[in-house]
Amino acid sequence: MADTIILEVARFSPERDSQIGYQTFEVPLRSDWMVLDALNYIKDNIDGSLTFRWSCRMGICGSCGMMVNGVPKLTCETLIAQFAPGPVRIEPLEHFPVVKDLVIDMDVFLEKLQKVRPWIVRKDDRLPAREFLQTPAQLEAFHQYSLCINCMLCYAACPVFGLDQDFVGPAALALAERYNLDSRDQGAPERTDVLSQHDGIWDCTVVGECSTVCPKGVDPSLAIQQYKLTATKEWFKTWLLPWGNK
Amino acid sequence: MATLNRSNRPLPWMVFGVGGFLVAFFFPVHIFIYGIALPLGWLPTPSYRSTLELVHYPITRIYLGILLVMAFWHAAYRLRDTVCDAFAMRQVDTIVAAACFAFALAGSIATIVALWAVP
Repeated sequence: MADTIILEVARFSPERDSQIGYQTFEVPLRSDWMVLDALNYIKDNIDGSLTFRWSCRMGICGSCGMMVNGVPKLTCETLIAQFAPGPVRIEPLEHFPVVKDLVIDMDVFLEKLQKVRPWIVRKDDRLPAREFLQTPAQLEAFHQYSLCINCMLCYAACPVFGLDQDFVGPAALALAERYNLDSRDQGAPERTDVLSQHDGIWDCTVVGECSTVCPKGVDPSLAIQQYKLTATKEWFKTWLLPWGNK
Repeated sequence: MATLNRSNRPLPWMVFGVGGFLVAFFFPVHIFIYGIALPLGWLPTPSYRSTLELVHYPITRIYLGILLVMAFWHAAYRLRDTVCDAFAMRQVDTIVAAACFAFALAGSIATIVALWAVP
């Protein structure tokens, strides 16, 4: 194995550049290094102005998502040695506006997340006298969706989001379903208007890349298809039953 | 009305889903029998007359009618999404949808007429 590897890193400064350019760096190639380690090596030893997000280094904070050779990855858990002899191209997550270098503007995602009310909604706001109990089966119904870390890799992988930025998107829809399926939650009717509109679940054409790239094993594509069935039942109830609209 | 923003996609989606199930389940059987087993001589070749008699049974016509009509609507739904995304035509989705579903309607009418008019 060679001692070094070439990284082609996307560079963009809003004050200076009109479009993204690429800068080449040669970094040590170590078998135990992740892509994030290589980026930190550049920042510490070659160019301190290189800008990227990271925090936990253990695949749980969801900050360090980037395109690695065109595939959305958490750079803290992607071994650099697998790309030897290189070069490796590192770019900001696709389909998002770039703030600087590898940092994307995540406002578009946060707005979508807020819209689906991803928290437990109760009809009665008063705190209960004791905790809500759940059976293992009730937990199992939504558990995999609760593993989402909001890293936005699924948005970078989703071609529909690339074509239509109004699409609510995989993570927000999976999290909506996570709360809809939670036995403690009573907010499903409030989420319906966001989920059942055209830019909600119906924009999804079941490409499935969201589920493929998810680093936590969440299956947003399944969540969306599950909710399509729910929405279809609701739609028929609304139009066929005299009390369905109430 | 609370449902004002809700999409009317559930109706075509349900037809798409049922059509997809029927196509995936029954088409391979037809392809195997008429496309592979008969040409290769694995099964005795039926005569034209006996095949025609089979189609004369109402149950065969109903089966073929449902299978083919649902296949057309399934195809129209998928074609609509493919055309919109592959050719960046989401802005004119209504026109694409109208064209695709008109194609499905024409295919359905042709299927019913053809089955009705079997000599």
